[in-house]
Amino acid sequence: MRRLLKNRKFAVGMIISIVFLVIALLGPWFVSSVMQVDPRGIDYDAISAPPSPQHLLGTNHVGQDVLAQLIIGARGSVTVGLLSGIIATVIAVLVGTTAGYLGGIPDRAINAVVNVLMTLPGFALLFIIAGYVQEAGILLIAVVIGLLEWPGGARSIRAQTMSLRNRDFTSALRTVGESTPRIIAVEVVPHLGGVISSMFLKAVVAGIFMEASLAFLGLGSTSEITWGTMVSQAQTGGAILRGHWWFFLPPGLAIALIGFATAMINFGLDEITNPQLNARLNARTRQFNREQRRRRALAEAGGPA
Amino acid sequence: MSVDRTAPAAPDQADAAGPSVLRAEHVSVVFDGKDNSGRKVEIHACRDVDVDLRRGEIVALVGESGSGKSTLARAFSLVHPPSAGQILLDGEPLGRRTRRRPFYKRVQLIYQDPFASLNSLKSIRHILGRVVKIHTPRLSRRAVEARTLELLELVSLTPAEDYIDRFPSSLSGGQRQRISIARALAVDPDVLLADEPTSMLDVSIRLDVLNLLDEIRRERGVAVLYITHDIASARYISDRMAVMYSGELVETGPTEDVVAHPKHPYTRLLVESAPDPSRRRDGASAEFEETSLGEPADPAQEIAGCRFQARCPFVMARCRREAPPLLTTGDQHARCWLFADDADDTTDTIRATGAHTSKES
Amino acid sequence: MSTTPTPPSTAEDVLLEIRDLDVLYLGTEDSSNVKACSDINLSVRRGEILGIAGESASGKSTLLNAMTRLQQAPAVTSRGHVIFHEHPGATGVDLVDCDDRAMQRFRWSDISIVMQSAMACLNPVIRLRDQFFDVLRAHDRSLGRARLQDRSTELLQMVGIMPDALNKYPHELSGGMRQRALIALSLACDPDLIVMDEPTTAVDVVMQRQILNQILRLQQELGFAVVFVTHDLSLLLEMADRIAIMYGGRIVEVADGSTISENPQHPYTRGLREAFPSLVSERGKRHGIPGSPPDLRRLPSGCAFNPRCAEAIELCSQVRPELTALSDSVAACHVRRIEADDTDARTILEEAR
Repeated sequence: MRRLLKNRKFAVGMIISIVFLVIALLGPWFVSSVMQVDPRGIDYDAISAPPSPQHLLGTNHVGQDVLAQLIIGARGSVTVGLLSGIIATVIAVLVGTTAGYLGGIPDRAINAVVNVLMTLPGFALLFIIAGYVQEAGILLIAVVIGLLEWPGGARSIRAQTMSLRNRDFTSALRTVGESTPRIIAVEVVPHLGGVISSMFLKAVVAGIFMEASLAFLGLGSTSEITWGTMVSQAQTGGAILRGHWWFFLPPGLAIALIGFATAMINFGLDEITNPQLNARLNARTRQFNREQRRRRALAEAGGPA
Repeated sequence: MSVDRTAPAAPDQADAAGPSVLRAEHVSVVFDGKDNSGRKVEIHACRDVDVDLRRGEIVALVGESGSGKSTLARAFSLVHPPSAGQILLDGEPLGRRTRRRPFYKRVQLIYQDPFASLNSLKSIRHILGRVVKIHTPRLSRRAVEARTLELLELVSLTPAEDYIDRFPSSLSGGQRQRISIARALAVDPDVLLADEPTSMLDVSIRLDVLNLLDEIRRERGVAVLYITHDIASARYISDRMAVMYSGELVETGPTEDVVAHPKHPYTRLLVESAPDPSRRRDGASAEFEETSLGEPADPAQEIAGCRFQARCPFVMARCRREAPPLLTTGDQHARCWLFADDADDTTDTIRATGAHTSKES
Repeated sequence: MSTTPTPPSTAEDVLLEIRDLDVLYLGTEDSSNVKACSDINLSVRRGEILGIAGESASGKSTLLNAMTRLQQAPAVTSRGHVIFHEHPGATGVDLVDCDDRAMQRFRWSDISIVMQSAMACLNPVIRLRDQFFDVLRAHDRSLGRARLQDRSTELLQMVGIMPDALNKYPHELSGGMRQRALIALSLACDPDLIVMDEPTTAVDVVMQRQILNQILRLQQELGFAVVFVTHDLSLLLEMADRIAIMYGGRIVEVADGSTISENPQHPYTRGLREAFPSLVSERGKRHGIPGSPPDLRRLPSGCAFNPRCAEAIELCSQVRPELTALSDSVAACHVRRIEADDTDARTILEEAR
């Protein structure tokens, strides 16, 4: 863990993610008790008002406080992201390890399903479902996104499990009489930590993005505030045309920032698990050899004198 | 010194070689494989092999890569069931329905690569404790720990408390191999199948791992199958020896006899090829110089007659016609027509000279 | 030491001379550098077979890579010389200093290398013929196609391979064939020295014997010198003229093959010698060496072998023994030195201070 936090990329990504989590958890309380603003309340004195001491991030075209919405929206977006990420990861791990470990017919069957799902245009499907189920709540959206996100991860988990299955230590566990579910859950899954964490982070970001895209297209939840619905409102309210950047930039930036944070965590993890020492060592070796040559040349020249 | 080798395994046992525990009868193993050009072929990794493991006895299974020795170990351990023939435990044939857990309580494996056979993410406490727990599920946590410490002491990883919470990555190859032996002993098995247990270890620590195996069979009367390509280490540790070539058993017998007076020409080639510092040689041995340059027979290939004929310096017309059975000669059995009773005079002379040469070497 | 220029005088028959060689594995910082070879002094005479034996982490492969300039980052030669005497008696060339182009010239034509994995040395997507032609042409550009073909055929026949193997790709040959083909290739330009790194470890016992016999026969016919690096001392005992034993990055004993075989001096050599069960001598219990080979990052103080040594005295963990000439061996061991000389532990301790 200490090694993880020493990695700057990982630390930065973690800090941003934790900040967002805290906002998602405490945001509603903060807005109502500290800011004492109703995110849906309309300030008729300030419609489409730019940032001011009263409304730190201005108001939107119906006079709602953007900062309050942004904070409230965090909960919706983060929930969708986490929930879809968890669903996708759990399915991917279950399916991937089972297929990879059992092999044979179960593997072929699962692989066929995965291949079909991977060729489906996921977003289009989501679009249709969301349109069909009018008034889809964010939970439903999260579940649907989760169900669409798992095949890619399942495939890489399957590949890793297959190689672990062929290692002697799993064979040794079978021949001491360990049960298959325990071998998978206790002995194999810990080796998949890297793949699982990176797939989870990707799924979280994908969930947030997809929800935002749906909302932008007007298919999101209308009852809840998320960053997606904010951007969507900004668009319908003509904020982009009129250059009212304070409507759409904050939620857009928030989404981008989460994407950035997860990418940083992923890079950090990657650096720690497969250290890219080689480049550095190569450089040090070249430098050492250069200096060595100079030293030797000097000695050669000085020698006969 | 050699007397002490054949001493009874345990004081209560008068006969050094106890009753048969695990036994292969006419075992054949066939795989589907592909040849160099990608065509489907049947690989006959084992052909009609009989091996008997008896209580308190170490049997060495010697052969080169591709001889089928590891396949036989896998058949013995039910990892790869035989395509024909059967494996018997205490005389009871094992089949598809055999329950695995009780079987593995009796028969355990030791793997070749101590770096791959232990889960690198688990502590020694987990690796050993879990096996204890599987086979005696009602043990308390403290009893499992006590048993784990006992196992560590058994394989001389002492003080055991220093090792129990370490991870495989902080142990040397020899220490890891001791952990895998301890894991196998955790179930108190009657049979150990050791597949090249020392070949990945440094030379200076190999002997002590072999000595440990020897001690285990002496003190616990375990039957051990020691699989190796190194005939000198096989001689060091085993009581009986079985030599495999291209999927077949070509010679069996008491170890000392097989090494000192190898009967089958392949065994002779193997003995002569093995490096042995105590028999410094000048130049090459003449007998095999040119003829044996070939490669071992491909297990996927069907051959009329003896499978060793292409490399055999004593090849006769009969060897190309008929595959020899295992023929008895003294205490040994050799799959070679040289030892047929109806062999003619010429083969007799060859047999005599052959035996003579090997005595000299 | 590294400031001393190449001294010119060496004995007539010396082909390659390693002097005071240190090899480092660079870490990310200077404090994490690991010294894998220290104070290596060793010479290879013309036409001899020199064996280098050691276990894992003994530094034997590091030494081989350093002396043939095959070393890759992060290994660096931090001190010392590897002097190659192309012609008898002539001033040598320091391979540590010479530029890459000069090194190219030496490779194959003067020094060739046979590695453990033939697959790693042979190009998998090029037919053997073209690999042979390339090496032969690099040595002599004037060779015509017919000459190239003849010479390649001849080389393969020397190692008992049918010439039609020239049409094959390396992966189409068996492991033993590939290893022999590589040996044939290493002979292509009549080198003075062939360096072999575990050339028979990946092949079976019978094939190993055949390859060793071929090496011995070819070496007698063609007179090249061989440096044979292996973990398997028993092979060297049968074939090497001289053997160097390495432990913990240092040479701990150098002697004739027969001395190492019959009367080894260093306790480590004795232990190693005992660790090979025999096929002919009396069966009986033998013991390996207790403990494990040391970690180069944490070498024991004094003699690196002292924690595993049954004969170790107090001095052994205080002062590192230097290689000392004994009656027929050169070994780095305080106990042997005290036995042989009339120096005692106190003198050695004082000398060290």
